[in-house]
Amino acid sequence: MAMLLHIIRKELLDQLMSLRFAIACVVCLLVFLLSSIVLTRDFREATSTYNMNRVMHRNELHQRTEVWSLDRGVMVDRPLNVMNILVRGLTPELTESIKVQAGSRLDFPKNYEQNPVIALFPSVDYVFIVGIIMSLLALAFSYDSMSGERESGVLKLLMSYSVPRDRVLLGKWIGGYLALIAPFVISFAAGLLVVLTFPEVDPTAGNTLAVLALLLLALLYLAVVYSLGMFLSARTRVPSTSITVLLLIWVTFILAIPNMAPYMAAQLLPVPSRESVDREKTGLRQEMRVKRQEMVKEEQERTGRDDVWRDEDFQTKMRALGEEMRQYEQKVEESYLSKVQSQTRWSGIAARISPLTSFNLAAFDLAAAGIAQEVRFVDALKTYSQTWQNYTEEKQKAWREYMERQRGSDGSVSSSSGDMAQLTVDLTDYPRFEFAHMSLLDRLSEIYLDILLLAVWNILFFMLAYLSFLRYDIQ
Amino acid sequence: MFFLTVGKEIVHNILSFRFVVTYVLLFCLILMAMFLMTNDYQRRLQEFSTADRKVRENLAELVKIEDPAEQFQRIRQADFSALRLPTPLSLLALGLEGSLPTQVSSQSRFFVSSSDDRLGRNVLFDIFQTPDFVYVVNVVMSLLALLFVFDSVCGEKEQGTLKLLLSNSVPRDSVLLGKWVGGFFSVTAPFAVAVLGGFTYIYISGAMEMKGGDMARFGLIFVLSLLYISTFFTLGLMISTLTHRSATALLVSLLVWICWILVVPNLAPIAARLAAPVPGRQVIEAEKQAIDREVQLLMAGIGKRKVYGDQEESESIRKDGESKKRKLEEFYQDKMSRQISYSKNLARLSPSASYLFAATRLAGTGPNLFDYFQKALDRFHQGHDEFRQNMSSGVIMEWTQSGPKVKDPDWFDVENLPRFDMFAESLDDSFDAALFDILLLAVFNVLFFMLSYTIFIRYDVT
Repeated sequence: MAMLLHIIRKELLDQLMSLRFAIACVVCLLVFLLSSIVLTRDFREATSTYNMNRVMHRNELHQRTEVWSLDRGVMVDRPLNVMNILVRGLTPELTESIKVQAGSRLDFPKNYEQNPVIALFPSVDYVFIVGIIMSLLALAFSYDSMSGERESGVLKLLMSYSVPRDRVLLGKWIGGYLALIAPFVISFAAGLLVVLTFPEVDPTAGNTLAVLALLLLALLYLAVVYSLGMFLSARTRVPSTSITVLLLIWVTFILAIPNMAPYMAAQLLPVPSRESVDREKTGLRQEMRVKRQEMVKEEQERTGRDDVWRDEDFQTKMRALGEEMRQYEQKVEESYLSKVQSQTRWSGIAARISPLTSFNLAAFDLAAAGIAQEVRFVDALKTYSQTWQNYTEEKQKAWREYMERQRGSDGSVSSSSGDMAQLTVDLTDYPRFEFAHMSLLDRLSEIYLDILLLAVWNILFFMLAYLSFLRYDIQ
Repeated sequence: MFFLTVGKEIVHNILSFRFVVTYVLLFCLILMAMFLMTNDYQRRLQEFSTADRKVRENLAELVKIEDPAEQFQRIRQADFSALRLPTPLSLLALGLEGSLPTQVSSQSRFFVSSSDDRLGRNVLFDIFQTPDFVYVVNVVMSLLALLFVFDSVCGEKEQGTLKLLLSNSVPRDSVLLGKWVGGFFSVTAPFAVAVLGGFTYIYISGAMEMKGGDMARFGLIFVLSLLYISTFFTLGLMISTLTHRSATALLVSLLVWICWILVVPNLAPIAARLAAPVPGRQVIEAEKQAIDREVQLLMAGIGKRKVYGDQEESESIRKDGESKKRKLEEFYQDKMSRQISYSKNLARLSPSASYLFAATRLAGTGPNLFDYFQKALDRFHQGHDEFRQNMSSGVIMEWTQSGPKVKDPDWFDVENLPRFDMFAESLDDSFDAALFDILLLAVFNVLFFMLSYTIFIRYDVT
């Protein structure tokens, strides 16, 4: 045990005095501080945009008086998520206004109306920093842990003591890992402090825990990469070879596989484009319209009357036709969505060959900025669309009833009889859109598989490093 | 002697382990990138042609309708879609091409099509960057160039060969130049071979028509990539002359690479957005609505004062409102273009951004694509508005006692329908626009080489 502590201490001191530790400190601090300043200020801008948009949309709705304006729908603003400062997640903008109309019609803002330069580059958030920059640093810390010491002869010296190799490996792992995460944790804390100085940031208990979970997740991910570096260092004899091989692996696993996997999956499981499905649906609708016109014509010829619409049987027939069409359309939509889902699933599985994907997706979900959250948001919007529909139908009914009453007295609607206020509609009592981000427990239940996967990678690489080190020729 | 150093450098590189590794990696990555993106492009192209056929069929059906009244009615209800042809060179640089819809509809301002476009797609495409050729060069090649060169001076010093080399009667400048030429050749040779392989695949698959313009663009992007690689190669050479141990050189190179490729260009656009804020599109729309309301109120005021209204006064109020709205729009566009140019210039602190801008510009998928799309969409909608106005204004049809009657039964001409035409830049224009970034890369190149020369002259070889 004492020997283990000795080895840890030696390794730690070795790393602390090296140039790479200084570089890691500079890079971490610089990147975390810059990113937190820029992204928090961006969040502040988004907060004011969000508040302004909300007031604007409410006022706009309050000013509407005509009953037909209900068809224009209502604008809904995506609630802000303070975790987006750390994890930008799937949606490109922090807040956006979605037009909700009856019948689950949602209009998301067009992305070609934003600044195109921003769309060209990924954003430097916590996920990017840890996933790409820190993983590269982790390799820089571990690439020569075995091969470097062999070259300088220190390993021979170390093994001349009566210390088992597993303990040497463990000691090296712990010491080097501590040296790697020290600048990371400190810079992350500094970045968080910067974030907290902004009055717009108001952390809740759930979010604090989520940040902690994000930190642990990053530590796990970095451990995977660190163990990988250790493993390859124990497989090679010269540090320059280990760094070359490691950089090759890093480029392949971090920069290439996660990006290429979805395209690969798309080759094997092609999905028609959204537009083509829409076209198919439009075609169906047109077909149905033609059929309906034919039916009306037929009925008119059969009965010899123009007002076939009054016939109850005919009405049921038409309704059945409409229902059939709706079901058909739904089937098209569902088959499309299931195709998309299967493609997404398989590309997720393929991309998870790289631990970066596991880390990214888990971090997205932890920050409530991932796929599960998006599904919930769209569902909430659809529910709200239903609520809005009910509300508008109620208003329209009340208005129609009032009109009927007015007409009943003298056959025409006069503006002088009754009070004018009844002619217009009052929309101040419209239903508000409410949406809560996922609870931490829900988020955790989404990601446990990814965490498990990362843990498995970790154990695997460590075991491989152990096996390689047992046979390592220290000469 | 110069050629001897070049030859030595090349042989030294080729025999090294990293040459093999780089060769394999480059070959795999570039071929993979071109293969995947070519297939993706072909899929988009195929989708385009099926959709195009469908649109044509629909139009032909409309033309075929015998009864003029019915035809008129159907045309009035019809939704004329137009399709956007995928840019051929998006298989090298997808750029913003993927963010634009492939189809626009004449009625989309009044009718919405589908609600699920947020979820009805594979979201994994959005999480990571597109693995196209430009991405591979931008990120991977710059790293590999640094990896190749980081120990070319300090490594030789460590081994003692530099001392030996300089004991010959050879001036230092030709040693440095020889190293540069030899090293650069050994990086770009595998790169060129890989690109050739990718090109062969594109050629065989028939994805790109071998037209002069596209070929020239392909060639220009290739040359641009060489220039970009050379920038990083020269930078690595400079770092190597600045340091005395290869391990230090490697770490410094990685540091510079992280900052320059990963941090600066990605952080700059958001920082620029903060520096030059633009009011949201919705705020502008709300202001416009407010102007409309004001105009309405003023008009109503006239109606109250004068029984028959005042043609002149209401006209001037309307014009006033219009000009206010136009000014507002101009203000918005002005601010937006300023923000865009800020973001571009700030990102240009890194050659990575310059490369990306130049390459996407040459490929026709750069930041100006959004603007061209928006303008084309506006023109398309305007054309359809006019078309619809024409239909209802009685130019084509008159109301008779027996119902609507079409004056000229052959009025509907498919050729006269408004089209969706996106402005396609000519090669010269694209090149002119990209020239600034290309020059910037060249300046970086020269600067780094001069610096490494000055440092190498005083380099302590012992």
